[in-house]
Amino acid sequence: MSATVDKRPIPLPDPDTAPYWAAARKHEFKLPRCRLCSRYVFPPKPICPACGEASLEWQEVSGRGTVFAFTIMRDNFMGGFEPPYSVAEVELEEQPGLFVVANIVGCEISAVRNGMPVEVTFEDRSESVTVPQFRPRKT
Amino acid sequence: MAMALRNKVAIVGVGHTPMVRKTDRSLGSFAAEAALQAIRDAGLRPTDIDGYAGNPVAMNPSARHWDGVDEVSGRYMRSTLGMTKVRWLVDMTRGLASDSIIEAVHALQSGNCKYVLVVRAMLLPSGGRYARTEAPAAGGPGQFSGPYGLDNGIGRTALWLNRYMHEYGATKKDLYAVAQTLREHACLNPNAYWQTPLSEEEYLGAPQIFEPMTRFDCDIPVTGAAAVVLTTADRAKDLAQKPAYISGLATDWEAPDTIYKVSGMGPKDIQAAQLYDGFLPFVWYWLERLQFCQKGEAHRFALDGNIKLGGKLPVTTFGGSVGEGRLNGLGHVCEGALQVMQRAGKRQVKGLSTCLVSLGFIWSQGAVLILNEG
Repeated sequence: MSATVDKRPIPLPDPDTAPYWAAARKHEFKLPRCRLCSRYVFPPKPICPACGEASLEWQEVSGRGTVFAFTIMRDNFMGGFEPPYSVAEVELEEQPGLFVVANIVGCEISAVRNGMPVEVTFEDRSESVTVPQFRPRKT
Repeated sequence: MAMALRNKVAIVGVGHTPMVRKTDRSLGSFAAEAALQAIRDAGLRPTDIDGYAGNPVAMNPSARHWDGVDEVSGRYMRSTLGMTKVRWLVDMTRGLASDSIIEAVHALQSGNCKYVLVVRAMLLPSGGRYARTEAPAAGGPGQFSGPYGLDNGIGRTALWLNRYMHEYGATKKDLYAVAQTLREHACLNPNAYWQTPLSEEEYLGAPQIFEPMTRFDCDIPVTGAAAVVLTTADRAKDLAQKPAYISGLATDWEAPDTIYKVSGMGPKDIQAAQLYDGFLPFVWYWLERLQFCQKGEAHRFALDGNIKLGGKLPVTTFGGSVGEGRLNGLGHVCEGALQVMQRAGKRQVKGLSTCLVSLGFIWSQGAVLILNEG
């Protein structure tokens, strides 16, 4: 176990987002979905914005998506992060416009491309913090 | 703004300090200088001002939020300038100057005051790195980006720029056309921080921050202040300067072209546009959303020289946030007013009667104004 303390900010869940992080802790990728119109809502909201339906339920999604946009951070003013690292906006296959931000892991930074197929993976950062990440997928 | 409210309010005084990166003076002294200049420009005295709207908040993550030191509140301005008649005083919570312009317009239209002072002052703190972010935890919307090392300004813009370049084949060389133009405009502005041209070599050679964004794609943090005085149209005609009337005001971020519906004008009626350039790629974004060119065409539109002074649609004619210095849009309002007042000197767009000012970020609304000779 490395002696270095992970100083990257930990996510602070709130009542609307707690299930997302609890699922991640169990290595499950779940998003809120409207019972009425079936739209996924991310970032999580208390009701479905499309139909005002208050009944959202958390459902596991495939974790598959593509890199819609990405950036490589090469400077060092983000506390806790060692440059260079990638940050991507991943569009999930379930719904157009359903975006999740994450780092792309499991490949060289130079390999990250627009449209790159990716899949969710999980990064255990501490005894109590796990965050979803994305890595290249072949299929 | 309803059509009936067009040209009922005007900007009648402009004040602006030089934008500097080294100073022995307090932020309060810059704010007072700009405010007094605007008040006197209007032919008024501090005791004539009965309304105030300002944006105090310091935007850098390391800000202390100390009144008079790295921010100036309405209360500070009222007491410092001896504006004893101010009865309507509002401090907005966001930094973007559009919020206080909106407040000033509404305060006047509702009859709550006669002469409103709007101020924005910003400090470049000494020491440390302006953008440095240290946070043990990220909550709210930031819980989905902070843990991944994405910041809310440069990083978010980098994602937008990356996608735009991918979809439309735009390049950093194309974006240099905008950087070069705004720097040229800054060189005609005695208050601007930058007074030298920017070469393509220097622009393309700058170290990457959130790639493809470099420091030349960001505004330049400075210390300085600006101020405007607004009043109703019936009072405006009796003051010292030719007024710049507000012919349209809209905050519809989903459809920035709402400004054309509420003003009864179209893109062809606009002779110059002060487009917010808090990050340089915003200029492309605004050119398209405000229908000055087709979606995906802004990089070519700018490359063809259309946005220069003397071009088809001069843009951000004072150098902007990147050339003059960071001021969350009040510089854009001042320049819009000066252009309509025919007082922009070497930067004056010939034959201008109407100038558009758009303030806002790609990801959050501000306002679009149209200023007109009336």
